[in-house]
Amino acid sequence: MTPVRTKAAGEDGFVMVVTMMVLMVALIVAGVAISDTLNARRHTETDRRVQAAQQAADAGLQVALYRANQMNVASTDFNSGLSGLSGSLSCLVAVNVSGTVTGLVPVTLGANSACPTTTVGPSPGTPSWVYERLGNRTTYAYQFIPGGTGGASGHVSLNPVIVAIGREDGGTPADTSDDVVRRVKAVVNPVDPFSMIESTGDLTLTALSTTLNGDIRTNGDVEIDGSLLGTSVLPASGGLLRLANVQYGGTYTGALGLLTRTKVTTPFERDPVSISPLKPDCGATGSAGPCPSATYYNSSTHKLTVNSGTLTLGAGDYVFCGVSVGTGGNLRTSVTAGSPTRIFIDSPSSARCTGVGSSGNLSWLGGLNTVSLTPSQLQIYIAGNGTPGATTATVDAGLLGLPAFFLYAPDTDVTVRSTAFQGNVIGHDVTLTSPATCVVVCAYVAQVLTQDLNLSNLPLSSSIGLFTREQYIQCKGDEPAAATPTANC
Amino acid sequence: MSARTSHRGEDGFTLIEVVMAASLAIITVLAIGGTLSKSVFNSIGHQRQAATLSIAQREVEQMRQTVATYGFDALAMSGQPGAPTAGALASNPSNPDDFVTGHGTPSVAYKIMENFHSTGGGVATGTPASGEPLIVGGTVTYPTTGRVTPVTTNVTSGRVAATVYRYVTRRTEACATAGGCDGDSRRVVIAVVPTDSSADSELQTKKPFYFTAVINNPVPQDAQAQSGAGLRIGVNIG
Repeated sequence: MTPVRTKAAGEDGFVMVVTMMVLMVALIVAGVAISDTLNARRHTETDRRVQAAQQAADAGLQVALYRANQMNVASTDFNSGLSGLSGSLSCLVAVNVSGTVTGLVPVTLGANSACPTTTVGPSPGTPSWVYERLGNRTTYAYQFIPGGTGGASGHVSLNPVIVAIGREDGGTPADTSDDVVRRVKAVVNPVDPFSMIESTGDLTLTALSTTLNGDIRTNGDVEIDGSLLGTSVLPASGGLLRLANVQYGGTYTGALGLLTRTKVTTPFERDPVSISPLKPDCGATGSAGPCPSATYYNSSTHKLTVNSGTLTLGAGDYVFCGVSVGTGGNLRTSVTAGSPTRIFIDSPSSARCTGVGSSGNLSWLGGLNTVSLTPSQLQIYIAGNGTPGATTATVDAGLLGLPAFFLYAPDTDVTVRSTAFQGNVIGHDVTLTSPATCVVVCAYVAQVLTQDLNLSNLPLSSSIGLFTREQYIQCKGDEPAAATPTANC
Repeated sequence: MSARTSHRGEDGFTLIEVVMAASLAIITVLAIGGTLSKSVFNSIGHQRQAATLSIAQREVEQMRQTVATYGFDALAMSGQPGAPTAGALASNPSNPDDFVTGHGTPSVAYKIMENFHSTGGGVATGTPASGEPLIVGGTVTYPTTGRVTPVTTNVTSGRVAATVYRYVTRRTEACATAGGCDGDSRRVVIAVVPTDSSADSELQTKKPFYFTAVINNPVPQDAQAQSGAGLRIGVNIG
C-alpha cells in the first residue's frame, strides 16, 4: 500500500471534517430559508405600501372628479337663446346631438368661447403637481386636463382627463426617494345628451300612429303597435334634416316606418337621481320654491295631492315623497317664471320618505302644462329606490291635454298617455300611448312626440352629475414632469 | 490482517477531537435553531400581513359597494365607535379607538394621524387637531341609517382571524358655498387587528394595520341645493 492510500484510508480528523461539512450544509440551507422568508415579508410590505399608494391615487381621482362636478358655471351664458347655447354645448355634450326641426334654426356646434374655464385643481391653468396630505403616510396630487380644442385656452371640453398620483412615504415625508408611487389616469365625460325618449328597460308605443320628432333609444326591446312616422330631426352638424333614429338593444317588433334603426350592443347608462336629505321640501331659503298650501301639501308625509282646483307651482325646487294629481285637479307651473319648476320625488327608502306609504311615485291624471310652454319649464326627477321598476310614474293628459315636461326617472316605469307630448322622458320601462279616456275609441288616437325644443334652455338640475368616469388606466413609472402628466399612461 | 487492522484504526478519535466537534455542533445547531425560529415568526408575520391587507382591501371594496347599493348617504357609521383607552395617547397605540375624541357626544371625532404608528408626527396636514368629525347615521346631521358597523370581531382571511375597526369621517372639501358640501367627502379608515393567540408581539403582528381611502359624493350637494350654482346638463339642442 502506498503512503498516500494509507493516509487516505486512515480516519484521523474524520469526525471534525465531517461535522464541519454537515454543519456547513445546514447553515446554507437555513440561510436560504431565512432569506426567502425575509424576501417574502419584504414583498408583502411593499405590496401594502403599493396598495396604500393606489388608494391615495384613487382618492386624488375622486377629489378631482368631485371638484369638477362642483364647477360653477352660473356665470356662463346659457340663457341667451341659441347663440349662447351653441357656444356652450360643445363644452358639455357629446357630438352626436340631435334635435327637432319644428321651429328651430340649425345650431352650429364647435365654438368654445362660452365654455366654462377649468376652475378645478390646486393650480388651474398651470401644469403642476400640488400634493395634499391624506394621512396614514400617504399623499396625492392630481391634474385636471381639459380635452378637445378648448384645452389650449383652459376651457373644459369633451373628454377631459384626470391624472392622479398617490404616494406612500413610509413615514418619512421629507425623503421622497423611498416613496412608493402609483399613478392613474381617468377619462371622464359629460353626460351624453338626452334623446327624446329613453328607456333603460323596454319601450312600447301603442297609439294608432306615432310620429317621432326626435330620437328614441332603449336598452331593451322596442314594440310599436301602430304605424310609425319618423321625421324632422336636426343633425348635430346643423345640416339637412334627417329621419328620426330608433336605437335598441333587444328586439324590434312592429311598424318599421320612416325612420332609421340602430341595433346596439352597449347599453347606455343614466345615473340615478341623488337628492340630499338636507335639501328642504320647499319654502326655505335658497332655491326652494314656496310651499303650497296645506290643502295640497302635507308637510308630515311630504306628499303633494291635487284632487281638485288648480295649484300653480312657482319657480324653484320642490322635494316630495309622492305627487298625485287626480282627474279633477290641475297642477301647473308659472308661465311667467324665468326659472324652471323642478319637482323631485325622493326615494321610498330615503330618510325623508321612510315610513310614508306608497311613496316615490308620480300619478298625474289631471291637467298639466301644455306644449305652449318650454318643456324644461317643468322638470320632474324621480329617485326610485335602486330597483328598476320599483316606482311608477303615470301621466294621463286626456284627449285634449298636450303635456310638456322633462322627466328624468331612469329606475322608474313610466307611462305617458296623450295625443301629443313635447319634452323628454327618461325612464325604465316606458310606455307611450293614447289617453285612457277617449271620445270614440282610444285605439284610434294618434300620438305625436316631439323633442324638447329647449329654446329657452332653462337649467336642468345637476343632481344627476355632469362628469362621470368612463375609462380608468393604470400608468407606469414614477412621477412624470408636470407638463406631461399622462406620460406612460 | 494487518491491513484490515489499519483500515479500522480509530487513531483519530481522540477525546479532544470529539469534544471540539460536539461543541461546534451544539453551537451551530443552537444558532440555526434560533434563526429558523425567527424565520418561522417572520413567516407567520408575513402571512398575517398579507391577510390583514386582504381584509382591509375587502373592507374598502365593501364600502364602495355600500355606496353603489344604498346611496352615498348610507356611507355612515351605524353607531359611535368604542371609547378610547383612558390616559394620554400612546406613541403607538394598540387600540384603534384611542384616536377617538369626544366619545359619547354629538361631536365625536377621529384623529387622522400622519402616521398611526408614530403619533409624534401629529395629525395629517389639513385635518383638525381634535380629529375629523365622525359621520354617524340616524342622527340629526346625518339622518340616513348608517350601514358601516364600527367594529366586527373574528373576521377571517385564510387562517388569520382579526378584529376590524371602521371609521367614517367628514373630510373637509372646498365648496362654493360655506357649509354647502359638508359630508360630501368622506374618509374611511380601516384598522385590522389580528387576534389569534399565536401572534408574536415582537413582530408587532398584533398591532393594528391601518388602511385609508376617500369616497366622495358623486354629485356635490352644493350643486343640488342651488339653482344658480352647480352644473347644467347639456340636455339637447332641440
